[in-house]
Amino acid sequence: MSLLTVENLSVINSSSGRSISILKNIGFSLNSGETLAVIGETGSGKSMLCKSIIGLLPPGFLCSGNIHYTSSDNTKTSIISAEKSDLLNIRGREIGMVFQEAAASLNPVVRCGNQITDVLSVESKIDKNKAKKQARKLLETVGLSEPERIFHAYPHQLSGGMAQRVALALALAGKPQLLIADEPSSSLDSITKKYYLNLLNRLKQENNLTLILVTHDVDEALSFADNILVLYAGCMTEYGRTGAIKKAPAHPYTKALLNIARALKEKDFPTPIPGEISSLTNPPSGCRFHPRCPKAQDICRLKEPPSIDISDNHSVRCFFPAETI
Amino acid sequence: MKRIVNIICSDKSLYAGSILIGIIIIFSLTGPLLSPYNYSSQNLSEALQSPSISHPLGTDYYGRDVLARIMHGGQITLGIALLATTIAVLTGIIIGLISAFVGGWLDRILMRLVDIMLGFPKLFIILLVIGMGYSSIGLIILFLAIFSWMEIARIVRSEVLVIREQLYIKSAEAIGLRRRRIIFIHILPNVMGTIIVSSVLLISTLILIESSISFLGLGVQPPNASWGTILTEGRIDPIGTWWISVFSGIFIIAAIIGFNLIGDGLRNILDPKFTENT
Repeated sequence: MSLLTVENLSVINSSSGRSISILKNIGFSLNSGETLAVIGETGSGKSMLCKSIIGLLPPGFLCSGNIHYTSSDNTKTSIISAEKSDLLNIRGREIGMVFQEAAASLNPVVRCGNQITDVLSVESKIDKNKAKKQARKLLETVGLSEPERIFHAYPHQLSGGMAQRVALALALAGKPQLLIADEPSSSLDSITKKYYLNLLNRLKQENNLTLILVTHDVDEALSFADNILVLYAGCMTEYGRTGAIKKAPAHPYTKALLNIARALKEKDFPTPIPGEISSLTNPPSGCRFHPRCPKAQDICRLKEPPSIDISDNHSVRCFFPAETI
Repeated sequence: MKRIVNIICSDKSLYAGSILIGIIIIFSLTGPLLSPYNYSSQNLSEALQSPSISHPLGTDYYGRDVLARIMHGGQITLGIALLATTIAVLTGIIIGLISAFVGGWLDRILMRLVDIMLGFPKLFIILLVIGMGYSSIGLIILFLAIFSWMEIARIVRSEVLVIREQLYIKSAEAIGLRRRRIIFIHILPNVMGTIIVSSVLLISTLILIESSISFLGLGVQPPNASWGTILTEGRIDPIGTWWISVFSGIFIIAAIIGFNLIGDGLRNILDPKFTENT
């Protein structure tokens, strides 16, 4: 059953007087219990995609298209056109989110335990003592070894990894079905990162969570996700099952990313993608990747590539997709 | 309780200020109960005595014990300042919050109102109204409050505008908390430090203003006493009856120094920029 369906999502920022297209024609659907990894360079619109799914775009950002969410009692909600009160009921209870900088997403003047207790007592309408007990248990489930100390600690007294886990506990407090993790591991060292991803995986299985994982790390996405969405400068370049993309990346950009990941894994020197990511304020005409694409032809400069379905659940936006084997 | 003591001991000026203010408050509250003299009972045969054992701070023109009057005056002066500060701070917080959250034209109107109120010569207006013959303690408190909420409102508004853009507020929104809850649980506690510091400093300003009004004879009226009222009674012969003005003056100065020390100390503790070790 599809939990989240995104159709033709475009986001435009018009706050600076002219409209800048942040996201263009994004479409995918996510089944309950699956994991979607969103990969792409900095500035490709990954965080904006997360924020539009949870309905928290900053003022001045306009959304078009459709985001359908099916909640646990089978009611469908369109996030874009939903009333504010409906959104409040979905946030936290249905869709949880962990932000990139966990330490900054905790209130510096409130003890960690109290922040979680507060959310618990609001979300599930239980009394304070019960909520406190649950909060301690929640801190244990996210793998914190000293829940009692963390419960009474202020966020600045925690290490980065601890703060990340407290933020996760906070996001899980409302028992969401869908968890959006916006680069949860980017500020962690490699050992903590591994640990954290394993934790996410475990929690996902225990609570039957659906996960959207935003990441820079291609390797992480390949080993972790069921589906992969590749974003480039706000455009969806490729979307498909992890296995298919791993075996036969169709878009030159995906191919380049995978090559780099492979080279890094084999401790080889990776071949960088020439040039830098195109600016969103002044995007190149046609396919936004064409200035950096080795296969670019005249048509790439003139026209936007259509979405081509290569196989079931595998689509690519390119005039010259790689041949599938 | 132990935590509060620890906090107070952690900063020298907070420590000194708290002791000073503590002594003054205890002195003003318990003194009248222990003193054999009433602040208003006159005894003309003992008028204008210099400090002695039976009257440690001397007596005034009507033979009233200056010590008893200063103790009673402390209650009045501190009471007026504290009450007016409370009203002003609450008003300031509410107006600041409304201004920050509603925004738009209401924000603009409220902030211009703040500018206008700050432009008023407050001492002059208070004197004008009270000088017309409407003097009462309640009125003094009201006027002091009306003319001192503006700075708090400004501080609250600007801090809220900064804090609500922070990631932890976004994250609280992502959790699905209602706006009211976010304001009272996540935003206000972050502004509280600044509010506390400026309210403590406001107390000392208001003590000074109240004393000035009373010194000019327009504030607290005899036989009731505030420190300013007592100060003005020694004005007729400042050298011959020095004890009346000097002692009440010392109390005014001590209270202001005390509150300023507390304000400085709290700022050191609450402002992370000043914190060296936590």
